[in-house]
Amino acid sequence: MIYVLALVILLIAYLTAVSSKDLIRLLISLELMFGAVFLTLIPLFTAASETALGIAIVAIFVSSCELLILIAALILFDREKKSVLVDSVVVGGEER
Amino acid sequence: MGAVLLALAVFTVLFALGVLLTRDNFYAVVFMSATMILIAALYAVFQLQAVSILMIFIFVGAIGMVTIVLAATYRREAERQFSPRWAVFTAIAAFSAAYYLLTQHASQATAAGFELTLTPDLLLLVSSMAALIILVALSALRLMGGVSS
Repeated sequence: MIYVLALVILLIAYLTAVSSKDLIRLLISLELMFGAVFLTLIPLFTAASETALGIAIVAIFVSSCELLILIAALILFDREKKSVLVDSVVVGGEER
Repeated sequence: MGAVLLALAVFTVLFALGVLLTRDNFYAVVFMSATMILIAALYAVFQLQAVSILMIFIFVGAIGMVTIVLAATYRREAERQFSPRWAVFTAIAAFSAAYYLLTQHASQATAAGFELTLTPDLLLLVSSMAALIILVALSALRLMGGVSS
């Protein structure tokens, strides 16, 4: 049941990510994806609880670091483009 | 225990759907924070309180709060951010994967709980990870200050 729940939340997060029109919604969907990933860690505690706890600690801190960097990048993007819309994101060198 | 798990699972999915269906980013963050609290509650049901508290502190207390401030700052006219075409593909993927998982009888955790002991190694890991997050936060602040000047 835990795997199915994680899968459903992950797919909802994917759907939110592909439907998002601004970068803040994209950030929210990413946090939701991390939540789904943490759910899949629960069964690992049955096999090796200490290892699983170590993995969980590393995963929580590293993912929060990644989100922190993304938040900083989002603020920098807004300063540069004066917008947080997904449409204003361009690939390298592309003119708009 | 099974009923508690089921109730938590249902509410987790409902709040996650709230993130998808709400028009306003501010409410989307609130729903996301509620989803993370419920995921942490699932950990608590399995007697994994250490992970549960860590998740609530970091993902709701720190990252969640910053995202709420961000969503409130960049609040704009609310519009529906939901793509029906992608929803069809997602539903097909969800049904096929859930069918596979439920029929294969993948190993499931019992709700009996786990014995956890915080060894010195794990405490060292927590403190070094806390140092890492402080370093990243300081780097991000320095980067943002550099760009503005």
